Amino acid sequence: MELTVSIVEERNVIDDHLLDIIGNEFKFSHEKGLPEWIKNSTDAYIRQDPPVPDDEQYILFHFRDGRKGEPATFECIDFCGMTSQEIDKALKRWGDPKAASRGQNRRVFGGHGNGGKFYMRQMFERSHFITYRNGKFNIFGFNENRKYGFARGFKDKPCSPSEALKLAGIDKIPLPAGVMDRILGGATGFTVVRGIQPNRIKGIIPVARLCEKVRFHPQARKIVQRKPIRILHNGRVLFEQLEPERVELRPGFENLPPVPIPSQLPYEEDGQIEQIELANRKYSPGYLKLMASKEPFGRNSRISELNCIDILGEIGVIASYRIHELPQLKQYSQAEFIFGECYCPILEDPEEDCVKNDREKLIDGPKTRTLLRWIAAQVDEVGKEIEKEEAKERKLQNLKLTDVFNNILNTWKNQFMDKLLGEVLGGHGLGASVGGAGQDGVGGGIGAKSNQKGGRGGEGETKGGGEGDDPKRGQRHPVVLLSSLNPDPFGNGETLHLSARHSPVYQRPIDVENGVYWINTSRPLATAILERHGAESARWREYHFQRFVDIIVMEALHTMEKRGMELTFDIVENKINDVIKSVHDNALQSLSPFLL
Amino acid sequence: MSLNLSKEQKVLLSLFRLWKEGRRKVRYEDIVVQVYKDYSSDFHLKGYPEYPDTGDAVHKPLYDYRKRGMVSASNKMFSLTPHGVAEAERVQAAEKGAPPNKDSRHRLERDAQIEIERVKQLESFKLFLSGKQDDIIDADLFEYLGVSVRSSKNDFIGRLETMKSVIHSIQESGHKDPVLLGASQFHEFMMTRFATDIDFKAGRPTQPGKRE
Repeated sequence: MELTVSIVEERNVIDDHLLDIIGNEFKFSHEKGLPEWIKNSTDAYIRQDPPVPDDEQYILFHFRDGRKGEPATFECIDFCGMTSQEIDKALKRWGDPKAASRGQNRRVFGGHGNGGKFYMRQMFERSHFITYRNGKFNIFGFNENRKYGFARGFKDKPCSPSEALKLAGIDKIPLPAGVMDRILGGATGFTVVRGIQPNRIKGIIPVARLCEKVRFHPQARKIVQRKPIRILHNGRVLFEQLEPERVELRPGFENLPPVPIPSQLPYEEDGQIEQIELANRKYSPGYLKLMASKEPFGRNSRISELNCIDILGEIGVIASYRIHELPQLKQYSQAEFIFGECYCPILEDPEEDCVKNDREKLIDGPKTRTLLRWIAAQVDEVGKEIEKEEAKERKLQNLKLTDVFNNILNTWKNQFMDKLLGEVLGGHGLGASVGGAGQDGVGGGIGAKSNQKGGRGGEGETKGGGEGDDPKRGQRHPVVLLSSLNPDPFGNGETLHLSARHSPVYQRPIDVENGVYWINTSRPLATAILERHGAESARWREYHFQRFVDIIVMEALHTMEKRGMELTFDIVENKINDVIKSVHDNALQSLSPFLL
Repeated sequence: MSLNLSKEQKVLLSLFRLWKEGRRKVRYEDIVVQVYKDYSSDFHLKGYPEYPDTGDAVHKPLYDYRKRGMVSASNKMFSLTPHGVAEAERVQAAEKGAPPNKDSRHRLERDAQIEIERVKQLESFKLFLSGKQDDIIDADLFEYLGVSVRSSKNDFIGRLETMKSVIHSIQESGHKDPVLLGASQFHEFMMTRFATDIDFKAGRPTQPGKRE
């Protein structure tokens, strides 16, 4: 017969050593602990009734350096205050997720009800809350033995506001405007969280460095953006308001739209694929908002802390991942520009809570890994866009360098082209009346089978002669421009962008009429040479020079056609060879410093 | 029953006769002489039947045919295009009294077939058929028409007319061949997409708002 057992439930008996074990897991540093105090102060304001506007939710940090016989102290002051009942019901309780909200139906920053207290217990020799509200003064805190309790004689001590301020030691420090009056008038109380003899700090407190760390800390930076946090050092104002770091966004990436998180994503582990739920009826789908900084954050720079994805909870940050911590990231180089935040409500589902006690990282598991892999893929997508932009910027830089050489080549071409065409093509005209290319000029002519060089068309302002229905506008020498760099002479001042499918040397009808050629810098070979070797490489100059050769050959062929020369294959081949020989010989003389 | 040919058709036939002798490029003067030999009563100087007319009577038809894509001209050297050869053969048959082909459905003229074969090889046509219309560029228009950006206005117009004629003959033939239907759609696409370039090259004023 089976034994029927029914347990009589009792309260857990927990040794204080467990607090040390958990506290050590926090691995507190001051820059990690101070944000916990900020969150507690913010929550105190959130609990206020009537609500306090954001810009009046003053938080003061007061740092006093250690001196002979006087230990260093950290203080975090807010202007709300607590009663002894609140201390009993909330502050004394460890690990109560409802502690921060005090049972109110308000969203607060406090998560597991541990952070601020653990910071006090683990990182200071002694620490306590000095709090005043409704005419009662309380001091509650930890002693040297890390045991907590009310200070003797300071539980619900009746006290006037001015006396309370004096007892708390904040009567002579520069409080925000109006706050002193509100306290003295009984409109509000205050809480001073004081840590005495902080770990690893004996004398002068590196306040500026601490503040810098705090304002970048994922648990604090959202609050720093919205709340006035004043920093005092030894009784004097060091920073009127802690300013959040303003990240200048990368042009073209200012308004990246939020990416909705799919309700389900596949998760693969050891060849097994399962579908991970990231939204359901109870928890709506989340989103990922990515941003790109103008400058890379770098690994060790001052602002490298911002190169991360903050995982947002219902309120506040529940985890934060540096970009390079994301799994399976591919665009590492471009990822150094990216930051953002991800809101995924299901992570806080109590049945599969992914939020860790210290809110640094999510609890590792399939859901967390699936989300992080998806985030990495999205970061990669933005990274690819940045990579494209970078390539464009590099190309533009290369083209600016190329422009100098292009001007040299244009000048060189202009100096010898007429002579070259005259020498190579002259004297073989068939006698057709061939007009010049000039506008309103007098067309030149060549005699039938003469040995004279063909006359050149007029270059004046009168109409050119020659065959054809329409007078053509002409130019003495063709002008060679670079696509994606030089302004389009027939556009609105912007350059002409050509595609990889356009020919290496390109002309539109209007370019033909005006003697303009474009070197297509988007051709795959041009792009590859520029990317790999740069604009000042001999390879690129050779490529660039060859396009000029193409143009000169084309001009020669058109001139032959205009002059009515018979264009059999043999003649064309011979003339092309003659032109190329002359061009190369001339280039050797004139362009060797650039080409060789 | 022979047909009464127009003067224009007679000029074309004279050029065709020279073409059949293997002369692919013919000087204007040679055409004048040939036309006079073939049809002296129509092409002599006014009041001088023993002298050929070297003026507009020959010149104008040649340039009209050029605009229709049947004759190409450069420096007063003329040649028949495949489209011109096809037209000349048709006119010659009519001159000899051959009846017109009654059942032209499902049969394309040889010159149209040549053009279609050429179009089928174009990268832009392949892009069009694969739905990548966005990748088609202005240079493809010139390649489609078989001209270059430097071609003269009349050569451009001539080739434009030739391709219109080819597409028209496809539509007339009632072919259901998907490639031929694709070629017809491709033509319409090119004409619409590059209407501004066509107007510019053909010397037509651009309609307001038409330029891209």
